[in-house]
Amino acid sequence: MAEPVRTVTRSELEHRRHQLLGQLGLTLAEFRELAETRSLTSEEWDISEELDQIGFLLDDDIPTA
Amino acid sequence: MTTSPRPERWVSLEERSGQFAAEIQATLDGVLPGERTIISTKVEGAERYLVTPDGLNPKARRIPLFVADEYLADLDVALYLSLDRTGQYLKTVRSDISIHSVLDRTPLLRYDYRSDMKADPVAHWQVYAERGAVSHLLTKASANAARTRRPHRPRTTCPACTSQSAASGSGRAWRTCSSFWYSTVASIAVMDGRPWLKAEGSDGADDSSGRSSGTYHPKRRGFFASWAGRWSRPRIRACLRTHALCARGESKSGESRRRPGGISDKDSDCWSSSFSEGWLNPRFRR
Repeated sequence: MAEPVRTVTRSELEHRRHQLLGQLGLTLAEFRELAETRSLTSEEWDISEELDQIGFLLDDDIPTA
Repeated sequence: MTTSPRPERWVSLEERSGQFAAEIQATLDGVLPGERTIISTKVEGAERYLVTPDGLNPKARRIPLFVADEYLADLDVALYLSLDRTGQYLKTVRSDISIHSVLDRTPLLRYDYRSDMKADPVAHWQVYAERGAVSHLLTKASANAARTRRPHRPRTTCPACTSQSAASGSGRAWRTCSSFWYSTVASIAVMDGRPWLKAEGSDGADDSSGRSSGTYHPKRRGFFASWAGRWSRPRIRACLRTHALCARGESKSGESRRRPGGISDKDSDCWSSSFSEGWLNPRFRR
């Protein structure tokens, strides 16, 4: 059974965020602007959710959608 | 000078978040088939916790939902925990709970709660009722009349909203994740559930197809009926009542909120027709 609490490092989260934005080819600011401009596709929606979660854990969360 | 009694054993916030994750898992395991692991994730050096199903990415973290053994939707759960104002206890500062269609993976139904909202609603349901994916799911769920009374029909959607957004009826009372959690599980009661829920039913009102069916019925005395049902019913009723008031252009203060074009009294029963008798109402009676 997996541990109920998993600890991650800030650098792991930042790396993951970089990877996600790399998939889109956008910066975080550009992606936030995109989310305000139009409906997100399913892939973008998944990325948006994960970016929100990473942002919360890093304490710099601004919802992307 | 008085001192507060010392707790017998100090429970760290990390441990509490783990216990909370275990409670969420127990609720899901009680009503849904399959297995999943709910974990709490924290970043080192910070008292912020994220409670989600285990998985490497959001897609892997989704919990599959079935109707008649057909995989039709995914449940997505993320509860954000941080410290409360005393700095001693965990508080749910944000909840994101949604149901995604397997057709296009975008949400069908979403519940958002933000503790830092400065105006109501601090929590709301977002129902993407205008999409074909909703009709697809409800039609499949309605194939068995014992589960829902009738298929999803366009006339039952609220004309006031393209994507329906219902403020939570009892306001802040709805915000706590635990009481809301039971209501959410009630809302997905059209999905297949644990076979033992059916075995414990006493009324014989279940479908006769022989498949596992965890649909909610108030006469059941299973895990879900005895525990979650008593929380969910009054809250869902309150939500429906409030939405009906809004749709009629009335507010509690008596101030008119009627939109240009107006909504007739007939239209104001949109929730009761499309939801209270179908999806969201845990009382699935024929």
